[in-house]
Amino acid sequence: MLLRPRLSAWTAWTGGAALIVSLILTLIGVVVIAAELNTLHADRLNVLQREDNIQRLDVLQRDLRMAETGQRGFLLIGDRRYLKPYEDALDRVPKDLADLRRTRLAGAADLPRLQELVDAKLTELALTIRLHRTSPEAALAVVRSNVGQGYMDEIDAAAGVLLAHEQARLRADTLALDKLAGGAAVAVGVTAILALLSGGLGIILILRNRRLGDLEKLNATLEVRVSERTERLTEANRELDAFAYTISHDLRAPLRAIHGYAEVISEDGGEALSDDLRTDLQKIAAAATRMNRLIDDILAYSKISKETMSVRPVGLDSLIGRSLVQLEADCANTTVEVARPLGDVVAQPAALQQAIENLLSNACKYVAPDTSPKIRVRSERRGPQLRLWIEDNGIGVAPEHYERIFKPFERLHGVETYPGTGIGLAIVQRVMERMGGSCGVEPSAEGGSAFWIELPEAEAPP
Amino acid sequence: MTPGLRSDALLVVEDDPDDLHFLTRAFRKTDSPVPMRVARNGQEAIDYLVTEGLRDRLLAVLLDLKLPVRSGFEVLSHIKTDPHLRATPVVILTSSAETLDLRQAYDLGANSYLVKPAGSQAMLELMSSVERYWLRHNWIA
Repeated sequence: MLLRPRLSAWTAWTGGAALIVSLILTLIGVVVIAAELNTLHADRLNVLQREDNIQRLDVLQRDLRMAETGQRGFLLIGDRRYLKPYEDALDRVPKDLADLRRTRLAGAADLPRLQELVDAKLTELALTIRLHRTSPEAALAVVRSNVGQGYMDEIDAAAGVLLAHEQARLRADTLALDKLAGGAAVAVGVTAILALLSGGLGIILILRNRRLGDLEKLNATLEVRVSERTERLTEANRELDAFAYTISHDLRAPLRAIHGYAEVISEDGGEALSDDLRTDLQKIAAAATRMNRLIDDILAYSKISKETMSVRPVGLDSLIGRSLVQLEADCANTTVEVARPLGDVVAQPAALQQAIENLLSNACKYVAPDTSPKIRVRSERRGPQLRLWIEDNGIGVAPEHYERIFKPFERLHGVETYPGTGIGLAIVQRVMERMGGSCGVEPSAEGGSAFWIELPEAEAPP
Repeated sequence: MTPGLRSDALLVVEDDPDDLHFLTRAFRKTDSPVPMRVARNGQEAIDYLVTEGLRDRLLAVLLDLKLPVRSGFEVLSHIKTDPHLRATPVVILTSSAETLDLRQAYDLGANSYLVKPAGSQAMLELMSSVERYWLRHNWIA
């Protein structure tokens, strides 16, 4: 017997394949995430750029206002200190413009117009400041003429257009960014699940391999243990066989001697032997014969347990015929009635014949001294089984002994009354058990016993 | 014994003195003129066969299977593989009715297989039939 826990090759194969597929999908997931993060980074830079551009436009407008504030302060008060904001702004505005030109503005086409307006505004501011040296009044008149304000309004409008472009682009980029972020989140989620799945599968496979390894180890030790025990049992069986062999040989030799010498004395004794002595010598020989038969029966009984029973369909009619021929001497005065056809059973022919002969022999033997033995043999179909009845007009068996009589060495009568070894019915029962059949006894109609044996019925005649 | 002429003989290979006693007694009662030689174990039987056995014309060998020193199977095998002895009829006379022994004996070339009977009467019947069947024939062609 061996534990065979081996999961099917198919299961092992699918497990491994699932792990590989899951790992590949995880890898693809990681690549997708990397690509998405890359795009996300680029888009994020774009958004930052838009925000910078918006900021720069705002700074440009603020610097122009600072420049104008400085110009007005100077023109109104005449103190050069007030020109400081103007001069600072003057430094910064070209830089602001240069920055705007460098960046990829959404409304880059409108940038030259803004440049022109800024240049015009700065020119206007510079002109009025120069004019102030010659005629402060004239300069103030220019300021009051609202020409400067007009430039500022146009600049605000132009910057507003650029701003609107940038803001629109910023909104679009932010939306795209949000969308990408969503996609990336999904990819991360899916990949995480796949990674978990791969990990789980991997752990399961590792655990299973370890379990298989353990089971294989267990199997190996089990096989060793089983083979050790089988060896011990085989050895025990060999010893039993040797024992049976010894019984059959060594025990028989002295028996033969006892029997032989008793007969030799009886034959050669002549006149010197009284009739009583001669009877005693006959009893010695008879006892030896009995013991010899006992040895035969014990050997037969142990053989039934040992030998394999290869069953095949057996015709009961011919088997009963052969058995009756065998028992011709034992059943000389017996009337036998066989209700043919008896049918066919599945059995080992020699063993079945032995069982039937034992039953027939009993039926001839266990009869009251003043009765001539009568036997009726018939069969009865019982489902898939066929029951063979052997009914006699003998002395019968009391119901309380029904079980006992099938046990080895159980006898209900003294050897003097009915000779026998007490193994015949035990052999019948053992044979039936070995062939998957059964046996039993009931009272017969004629006051004797009705012994039966039951075996699977053969489907077709042999 | 006339030189050049071989005398008929029966060889009995038997170690049990009681069995030998009954056998000898029964054989005597058959009134056979054939002399009986006795070997008490397998080795003795083989020694006899390779020396005097070649001078005797053995009509039959009555061979027990369970023998000391060398078993009956060894003796049987020796006879049936020796070109000079091969034609000698070997009758196994054993207490074993085991199918395995029976099969092995015939596999090795035994000519007959008899189970030792119990009782002097049964032994007499057996020896009579052995004498009738194996010893009364003229084995020289």
